[in-house]
Amino acid sequence: MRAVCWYGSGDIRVESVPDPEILNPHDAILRVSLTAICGSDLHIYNGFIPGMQKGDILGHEFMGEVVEVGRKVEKLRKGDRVVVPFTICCGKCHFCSTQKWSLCDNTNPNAGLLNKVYGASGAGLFGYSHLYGGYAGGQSEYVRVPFADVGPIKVDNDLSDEQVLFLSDIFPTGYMAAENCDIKPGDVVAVWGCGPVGQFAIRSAYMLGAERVIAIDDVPARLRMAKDVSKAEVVNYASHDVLAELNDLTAGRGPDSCIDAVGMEAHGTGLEYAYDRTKQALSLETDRPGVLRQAILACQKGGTVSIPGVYGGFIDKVPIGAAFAKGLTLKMGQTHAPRYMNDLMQRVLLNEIDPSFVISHRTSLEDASAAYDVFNRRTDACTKVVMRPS
Amino acid sequence: MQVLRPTVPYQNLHSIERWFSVIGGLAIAASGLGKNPLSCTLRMLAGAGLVHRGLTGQCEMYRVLGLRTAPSTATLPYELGIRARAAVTIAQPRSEVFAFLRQFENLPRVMRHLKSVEPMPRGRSHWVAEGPAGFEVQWDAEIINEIPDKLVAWKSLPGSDVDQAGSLRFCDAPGSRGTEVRVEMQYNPPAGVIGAYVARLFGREPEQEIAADLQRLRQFLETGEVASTESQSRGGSEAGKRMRRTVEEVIA
Repeated sequence: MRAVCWYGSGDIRVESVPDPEILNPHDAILRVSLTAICGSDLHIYNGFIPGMQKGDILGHEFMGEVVEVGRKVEKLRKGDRVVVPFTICCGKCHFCSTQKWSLCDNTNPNAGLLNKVYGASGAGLFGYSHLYGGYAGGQSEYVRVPFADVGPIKVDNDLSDEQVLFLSDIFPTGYMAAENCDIKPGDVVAVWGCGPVGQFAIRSAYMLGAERVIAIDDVPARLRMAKDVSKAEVVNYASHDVLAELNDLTAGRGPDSCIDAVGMEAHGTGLEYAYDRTKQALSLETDRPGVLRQAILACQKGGTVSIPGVYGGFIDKVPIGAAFAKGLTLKMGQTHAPRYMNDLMQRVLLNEIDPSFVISHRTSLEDASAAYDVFNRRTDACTKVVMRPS
Repeated sequence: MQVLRPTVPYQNLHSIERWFSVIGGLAIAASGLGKNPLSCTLRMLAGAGLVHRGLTGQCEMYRVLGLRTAPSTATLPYELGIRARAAVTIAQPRSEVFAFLRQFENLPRVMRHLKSVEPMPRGRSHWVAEGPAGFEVQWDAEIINEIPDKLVAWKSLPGSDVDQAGSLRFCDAPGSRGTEVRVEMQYNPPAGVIGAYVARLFGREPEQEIAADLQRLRQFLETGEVASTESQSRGGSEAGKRMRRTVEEVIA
């Protein structure tokens, strides 16, 4: 089969590789009908995710048709159309039983590596480094899905692939980010990052009752989408002082909650940004926390800073004093996608949202290398790339 | 991993080595006669040290390195070797976890470096494991204590490649979280403490390996399979290679 393989920073190749096989009794094999590049794939593309090996197959947003099931798979059958969450969940451990799906105890075969670095390991992830299990991803014609009865949900309605694909990650991720904000009527929510997760966070914040949502970015096309499609007020950080703007827009209160939908590769302006770029280049810090700092400083007293953006290592000069003084709540972590997938599909069926609005580029799997490049440089008004295996 | 060193002096030299130590010490001391005063003093001191080592049968250097050449009368590696411990919580009833682990033949399913365990008569069993650098290590073990659903303790029998002893303890986890399993092991690595540190350099840290084995145990007991990505499809020249090792194959 053809698959998108990682060979190093900025080096993506589409190669012919062996077809996946059933390895464990709860596995299923999917023929992928549609897959996407996630913003978090760009962290891998740019070499910021440790534990990658040359030849690893990428991709954790995919859907398709079941073509083979292991002997202990009961709910899925050949021919079922399913969308698969990016976290691999066993369904049996303490964390799965309490709906904390992304913290699953039993699906990372390399848990020992993360035990060393983080003290514990969460769920295995598709196509997201050997630290997260080394599972082959779904940017390929076929993919092996472990514990196929647990995470994947059947799509037996007439929604298109493009309308349901994002239930795999970014829609639940944006939704959980907003849910973590514990939004009350009249709340103002600020969202850093108008990429796909940011867009879904804006939409979800409104769904959950936010009065106003303010979105921050510097890419014109993304700000336009946030304003025109997602109906947010927008601030361009390249031309405006974000903290002053937020202070003004909320008449001195600050946003009730702040969402960092950017993560470890935050861009910024001025001396602070130069400081983080330098420290990261010298390996003195692994992640650039510019957005997190702003979110903490901007957030209203007693508010929540919700972090769907990915962080991997260590950050410097985070104003924990401000967070403490203002009594902030910080919520973060990989999305417990299976908790939200069915509910969010209902919202799509009820026409509350059509998740395909974030798609800017449609291409073939064969063009993955160019697609990563365009998405990474945010040129050509690129917000989201979906790829169809030929 | 904790390196144990004897706190009370005890004889760690074999009788032949003690004789060599005495004779060699005398020879070095004698060679100092007639040399210049500095050389004479140094040779006398070194010789006296060796003679003392031989007469007492105690070598300080061996003690620090965790080595011994004296034949051991105790089969328990008391006050010598490496101690390692690890623990896990498994969302299964205590009786089931105990029953699975008490059946030692089950262990190679979840313990990566264990090749086989064969039961023998009178509560004994024969164990084969993959040691550092691919060497095979074998030992016979016997159960020295057993309290159903609570504890199993074992020790290796004389003639084993690695002298070792260990225990598994079981108790109920709070809040209906299942069973807490604690493993404690003590063993004498073949090459002493240095061997243990060299093994660690090559990524064989005993506590981490036991912890990883316990996580595989939890995977198997909670889900019925051990998570694996070995032999998956991948790009590059290795693509054709498959190192398939599923749970069923391991069981078979």
